[in-house]
Amino acid sequence: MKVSAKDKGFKRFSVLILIILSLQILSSLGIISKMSFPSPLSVCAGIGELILTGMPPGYRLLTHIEESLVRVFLGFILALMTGFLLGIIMGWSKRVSFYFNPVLELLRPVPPLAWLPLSVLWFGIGIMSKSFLIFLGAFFPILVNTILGVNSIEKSLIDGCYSLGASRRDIIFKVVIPGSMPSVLTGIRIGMGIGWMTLVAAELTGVKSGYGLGYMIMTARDLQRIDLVVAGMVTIGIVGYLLDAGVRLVEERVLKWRM
Amino acid sequence: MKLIKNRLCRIILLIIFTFLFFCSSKEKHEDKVRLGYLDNDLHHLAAFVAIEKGFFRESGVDVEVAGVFKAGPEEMSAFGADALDIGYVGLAPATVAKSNGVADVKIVAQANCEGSSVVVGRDSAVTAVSGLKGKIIAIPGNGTVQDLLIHKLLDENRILDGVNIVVIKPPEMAPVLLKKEIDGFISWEPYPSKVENEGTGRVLINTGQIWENHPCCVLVVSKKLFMKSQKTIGGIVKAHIKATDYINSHPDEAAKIAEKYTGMNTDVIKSAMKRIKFVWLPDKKRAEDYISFLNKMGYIKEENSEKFLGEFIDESFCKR
Amino acid sequence: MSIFEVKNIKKIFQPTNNGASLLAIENVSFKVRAGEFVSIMGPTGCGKTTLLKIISGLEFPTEGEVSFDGQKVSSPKKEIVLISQSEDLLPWRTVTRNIEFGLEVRGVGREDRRKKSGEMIKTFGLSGFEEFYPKNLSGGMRRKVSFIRSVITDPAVMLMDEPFIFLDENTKDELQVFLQNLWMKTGQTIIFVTHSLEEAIFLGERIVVLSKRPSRVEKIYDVSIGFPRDRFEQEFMDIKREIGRELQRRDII
Repeated sequence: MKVSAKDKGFKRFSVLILIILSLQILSSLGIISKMSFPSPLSVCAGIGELILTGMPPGYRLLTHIEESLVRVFLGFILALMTGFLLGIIMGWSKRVSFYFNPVLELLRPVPPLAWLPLSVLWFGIGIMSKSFLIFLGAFFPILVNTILGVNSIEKSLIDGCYSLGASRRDIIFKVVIPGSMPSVLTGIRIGMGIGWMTLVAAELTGVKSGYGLGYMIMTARDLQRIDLVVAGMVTIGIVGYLLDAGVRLVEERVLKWRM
Repeated sequence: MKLIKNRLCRIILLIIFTFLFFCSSKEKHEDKVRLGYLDNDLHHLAAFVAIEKGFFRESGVDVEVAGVFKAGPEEMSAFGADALDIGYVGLAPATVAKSNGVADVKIVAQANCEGSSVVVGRDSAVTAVSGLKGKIIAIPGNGTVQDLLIHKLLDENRILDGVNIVVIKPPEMAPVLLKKEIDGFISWEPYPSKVENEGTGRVLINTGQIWENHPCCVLVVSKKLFMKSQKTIGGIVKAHIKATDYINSHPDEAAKIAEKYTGMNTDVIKSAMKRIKFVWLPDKKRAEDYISFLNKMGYIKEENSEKFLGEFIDESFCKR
Repeated sequence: MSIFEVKNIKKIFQPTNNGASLLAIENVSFKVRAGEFVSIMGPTGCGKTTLLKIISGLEFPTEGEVSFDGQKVSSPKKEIVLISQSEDLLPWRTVTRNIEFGLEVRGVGREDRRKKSGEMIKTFGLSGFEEFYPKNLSGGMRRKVSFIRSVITDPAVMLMDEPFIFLDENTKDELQVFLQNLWMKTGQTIIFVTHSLEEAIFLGERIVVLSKRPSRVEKIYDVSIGFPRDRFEQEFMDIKREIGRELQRRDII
């Protein structure tokens, strides 16, 4: 089904709007009790309250978002640098991959949240203990997809370039790295997504600065403000969506040769 | 066509089974009364004693422990989800939950006064409250009694703006203090006594010194249970009063029970119990002060505190 | 004066798990002069690709040796370029940047590269396609770009392994003419492997015919028609019939 440029306006949101409308109607009619789930309108009001008054009172939404973004970016950048580098090396060298695989396969299934107690022990309650968990979440998708990307490059491409007189260094920088980009960018998108999701869990124990979206939601829950909890969730969803859209834009640029 | 029918049948069966599963997991123990309390909170000693000495059973009430929580707000969420019938919990989280419409509960008795402390690190240079300016202090959660008290303390000393208040779960407070990630914390007994006993910190000020005889924990019951059987409520409160009296008349035996439930050693328990006043009559006057503070902090919006408390607190069961 | 010497090449493949070893090439020898276009023709599976890989230095012979300019060939060299059957253009580079690849790895500066690639593009009729990505080119176009990017580095020898095998008939004809034109203009030494007799005759000055596996040199033919060649001309068709009949008798085709 071809989607024309015009369609990209509102049509894509039609199902979402339908769901929100139905929820509001059901809530207003009392079919969904306000205790089980706040109505979309009260969630909107909640977002307004979070922006103006904040949760806890005095700690406003925009600063929460800012702090969370900083933590996620820090963790993500670390994951990108290490995951990409290790991925290229492991994809290129069968020997390195042979020895490193067991270690990584053992660590991979452990969810970032399980590292929380250790992280607090090592890094305290500052930014690093949160970014560490986010790093763990983003690292594996980036690593795995980079290795995949390197391995998916056709041997004939590499042979042809050797034949043209390329050195091993040339091959790595001019063929392997650009060639693995489609997979790497997929890994980046997934890693960014998981990193952002890990955020709430990461901010559950002690946030020194008192700011962070996960922390804000926990506070709202402590103060029994479910409408603000959902407003916080909606905010997390929106920011996550925007982050993903950002990566997709970069992807389109870098991978325009695939269009 | 057959393939589609087959798959459709399987999907329908799956949905039915999932539905049945959820229905069955909501089965209630119709006759048991579900009790909740806080992990390692010595304020709830009456609950431990009442269970150990069989006071609930004597009053004809079948009580089972349905939840142990890390902080008050979590316990109130459980009330909201209809997972508890009665509970020992801080007055502040109970008030916030009731006022914000999450848990419909009634206070039928009080559990204690005072019994929390502000603790600083053993090597800390802070000797007076004013020394807390510019420091980082941990509380067990927003909307807890400790949150309220630390705000009161700092506000009265005019240093509220200069202090960074962080939320950390009580078991983690001591390790984080030791790492010097925070400069101090305020928590319920026996944590302050434990930290003193281990030599990792010292008490700066007891909450009793911040606000004399301030109510702390209360005994709440769900509105549902309240409407169902007044007789049961009567039995529960009777057991609670008996347990409270026992603590005050037989402190050593009570201490042994406390050791069993908290896992902490005798010295810590003895020291902790000294700082707690175990009572049972609700303090309506001071509860009004709670409401003013919670309003001021922006946690609740209760304009008519008298009307609210009239509905919230029921002392009629409190008689020997 | 021969620039390339293939001497008594023998290749046995060792089995990996079970089964006997495979004798792919029994004994192949021939010489190539500078600037010559030599076709190597043989039935499918006779080891043509393996032979070419050995010549290019990507594989080792079990016996025998290949010498280039008097020196033994044991690894890929900058002066020997191999064009394989499969797609070898870098998909993320434009036509221009693909063509410039060989110059890039030789350290040629940007301006010089642009100049040279621009000339090549114009000379061989690719104007207008400079900024295209391989994905948006036809199969035939991509092959043309492959040739140009190999020839721009001015190699001593170009090895080609059935480069037109995946193209349709019309494109094949077009590319054969293109290649012949390119060879006439640049004077490269070219060794061209194919299974098609007509292709071998159209392009080559000499044809080295290989037997079925294990391969030996069956016969080396001289094709003395002038260039550029016309496949519908009488002379061409006569030679094709002559060689074809003989190879049929020898059970090569």
